Amino acid sequence: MRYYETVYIVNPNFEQSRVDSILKEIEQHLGEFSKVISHNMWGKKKLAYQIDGQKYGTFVLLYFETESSSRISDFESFMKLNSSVLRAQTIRLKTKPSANSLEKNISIDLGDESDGVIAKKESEETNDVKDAVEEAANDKDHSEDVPEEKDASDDSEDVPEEKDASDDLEADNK
Amino acid sequence: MAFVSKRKYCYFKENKITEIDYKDVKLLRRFITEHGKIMPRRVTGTSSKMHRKLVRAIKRARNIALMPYSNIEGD
Repeated sequence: MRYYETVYIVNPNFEQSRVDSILKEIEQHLGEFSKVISHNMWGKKKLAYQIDGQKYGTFVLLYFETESSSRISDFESFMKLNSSVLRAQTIRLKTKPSANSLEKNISIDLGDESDGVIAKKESEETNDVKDAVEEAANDKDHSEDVPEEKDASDDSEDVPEEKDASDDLEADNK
Repeated sequence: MAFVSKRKYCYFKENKITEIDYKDVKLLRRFITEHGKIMPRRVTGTSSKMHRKLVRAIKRARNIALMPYSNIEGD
C-alpha cells in the first residue's frame, strides 16, 4: 500500500458549489482505484506567480492510498486535463499520514493563508517562532541586526552571500 | 586581525527537524534570497543531507506556486 499526497489549485473565481462539485468529481475518479484518506480545502491563497492569469488560487489538499501505483500517472493526466484545476502536484509519502499530521497541515496553511496580504499580522502572531529562528540564525553566523563591533567586519549585513563566504574561506585558511 | 567568527550550524540539526515539508513556506523562506534563489550551503551552514531535502522541498513548493521561481523586483 502506498500513500500519496496531492495538492491542487482550483480556479479562485468559482463559487463554493462549483468547487464542491469539482472535489466530488476528483474523488470519484480516484475512488476507482484508491481509497481517499482525507480531502480538504485549504482556502484561498495568493500564488507566488501567476498561473493562467490568476493571482490567487483555491488550494485543496488530498491524501489517498492505493495499491495500483501504475494508475497514478492516469490520475495526474486527468488532473492536468481538468480545466478547472490550475495546477496539481502528487507526492508519494513514506509513511501513512496520521490524523494528527493532517490537522496540523491544515492549520499551518490556514495561518499561512494569503501570505502576501496578511504577512505583517502573521509575523506578529508568530513572534515566538521568529525569535527562535533569529536565535538560530545568530548562532550560526548570520547575525542579522546585531552590528557588534567584532562582528561588523565579517557579517553585519542581512544576506552577505559572497562577502560572507569569502570571509569564511579566509578564516578557514587561517 | 582577530576573527571572531561564529560557528555555522545546520538549522535543522539544531532544531531536530528530520523531514522538511514543502508546504511549510515560512520555514523554506529562510533559505532563499530575496530574489527567490536557493541560498548555498556555504552561506546557510545546512548539513549536506538536509540541504538535499531542503532543495527538493523548495522545488516542490515552487511547482505548486507556493514559492516564486524568480522574483526579480525583490519582495
